Formats: sequence, structure tokens, C-alpha cells
Amino acid sequence: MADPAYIVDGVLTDGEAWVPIATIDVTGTSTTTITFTSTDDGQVGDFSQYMDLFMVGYASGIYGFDTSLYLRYQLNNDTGSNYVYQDLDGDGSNATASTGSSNNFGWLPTSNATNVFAAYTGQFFDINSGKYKSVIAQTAMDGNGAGNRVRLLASTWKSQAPITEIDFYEPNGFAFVAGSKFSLFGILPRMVA
Amino acid sequence: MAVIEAIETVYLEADATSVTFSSIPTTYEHLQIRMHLKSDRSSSSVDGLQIDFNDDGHPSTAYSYHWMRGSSTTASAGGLASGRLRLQNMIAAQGGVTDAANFSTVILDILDYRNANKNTTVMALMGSTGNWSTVSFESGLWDNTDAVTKILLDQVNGPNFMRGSEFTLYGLKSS
Repeated sequence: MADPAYIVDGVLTDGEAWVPIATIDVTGTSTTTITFTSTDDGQVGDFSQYMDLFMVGYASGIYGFDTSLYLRYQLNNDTGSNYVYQDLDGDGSNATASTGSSNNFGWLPTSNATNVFAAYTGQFFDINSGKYKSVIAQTAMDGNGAGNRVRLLASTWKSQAPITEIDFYEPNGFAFVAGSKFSLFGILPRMVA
Repeated sequence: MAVIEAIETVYLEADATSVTFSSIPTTYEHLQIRMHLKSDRSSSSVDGLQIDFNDDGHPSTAYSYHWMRGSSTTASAGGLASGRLRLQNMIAAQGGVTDAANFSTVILDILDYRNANKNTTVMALMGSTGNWSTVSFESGLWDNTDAVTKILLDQVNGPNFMRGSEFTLYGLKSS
């Protein structure tokens, strides 16, 4: 088994702090869930070595009506009522805020607007700690005149377990449009004193 | 050559009044501090995160800051000039009312920090949920053209960051 990049000739080093873990490119019309799972093998896909995780996404949902769907996240396959959120939304005219108990993440455009995708970032903090897991997410969605949304979101998964899996999905079960793309990066702490 | 490097991580194993990054290398273009933190302020579930550059803060009139935020069901914006740079959204213990495991998040970007001909403007994304539920995008100005060589973080009220708070300073290279 090869060593991670920060182990050089058996010595711990501080190299690139942001490590690309995986990219998922959606093909076809049946992908309803995007899943990133820790490989638990000491390699780049092993979440246990990272301080934070960072997701970059670009996605749309297959639905021939309306202008927007929802994007949600789920950690460690926890379907319980253990998520809370706070958002700040702009729709091109007004700014609004809301809070609640769900695993909201962002808005998802629909295939009703051809070739319109939304851009996302999602940051997961101190993922291996015994604290609740905190998330900050950004959504930028422009429907070229209809369905304009920007969102800042803070969310907390009220669990003290390490994060070992992250899922993204549309809660009504709509699939992602082919060409949707999600990338996950691991962010290392300083390791050498 | 690495593009983003972790310069220093501070993980508090006991409550601490402040966290300082000093002797910051001059080999980067930009800095980012990623934080997962909480104040031990007992009288409220929110505190402010204070930032001083180069020990300019006791007192100084060189700072100002503003924000837009969503807090519960209210969207708002505001700003102040002050003797300290005060970001407005750090969760506090409120004497145990806030869940012990609940911390808030900050991503603080400090751009072109070693340029000695420009004032320093910072950009922050912050998030908290619980009794204090707020997500915010904030900005701050240090009206001083000195290169940033030292960053001190503490609280408006505090008096401590709580055990388990984590701070990592990253350096970003451009070439």
C-alpha cells in the first residue's frame, strides 16, 4: 500500500493542504443520490485524516415543470431529525431568512430550463471531532429570468460521530441531469510542529 | 510546490482568552483562517469575534466592519466603526444553555496580506445554529497599510474561547 503524499520516506511532512478526494460526474437519467464514502484505508479517500471537507458542485434536476427543486445533504446515512439549518436567501428582488429542523442544503434548478445548472460549495468542519458537525453552504442559481436564487446556509448535524459518508439528493426523488458534477476535497491541518 | 499549505493549527485543550498567529511567513499571496469555535460568554448565546493585526488594538480607531445576515426569520445588514474589528456571529455557551457540543464556523480570508501599500480588507463567512441561529457574510477593514505579520483573535465579551475550539491558518500561493 502506498503512503499518503504527506508521508515522504516514512517522515510526516506538510505538503498540499487541500487534497482532491473524488469527483462524481452524472451520466444517464437515473442518478438520484450522490455519495461520497470514506475509504478507511489511510489513502486520500480516508476521511479520518482531514480536519474539514469541502464540496464543489454544479447540478440540475430532471423535472419538466417549475423552476426549482431542493438539494439536501445527509451524513452517515442518518435519516433522523438531527439536522437544523439557518439560511439567507435572495431571489433577485428580496432577501429573506428562515430556520428550521431539516437537512436543507440548497436550491436545485430543473431541466425545465435547458442547460441551466446551479453552483454550490459546501464546507464541513472538524469532521472527526466529538463536537456537533457544522456546515456552511452556498448556492448560486440563475434561471435566466426565472428561478433566480442565491443562498447562504449554516447547518448543524447534531451528532458527535466522525463523518464517514456524505450524500446529496433531491428529497422528492428526482434524478440529477446528466452533466451534473460533484467534487470533494479534504482539508488537512498543520501536522508538523 | 504546494498551492495551499497549513501554516499552523491551534486546537484548544483548555479554555483560552485568545489565539495568536505570529511570525507569519511572507511566502504566500493570501491567508485563510478556518475556525470551529465557541465563546464562554455566560449572559448570551452570541458573542463577537475580535481580530487585531500587528497588536494594533488597544485602543485603535483603525477598524470598521459590516455584515449581511439571516438570523431566524430576519434578513438584515449593518456595520460599525470601532477600535476593534468585530465579526458578529460567534456562538456562546450562555451558561450551558447552548449544547456543549455545538460550535460555530468561520472562514476568514485575508487577501494580499504582505503588501505594504494597501489597507487590509478581510472577508468572512460565518454560521451558527441553536439558540443563536445566524448565517452571515461579513467584511472588515484595518485602515493601515502595514503588512500583516501578527493576527490576534479573541472575543468581544468572552472571556474565553472554549475547549475544543479549533483554528487553522492556511497560506495560499499564486505561483
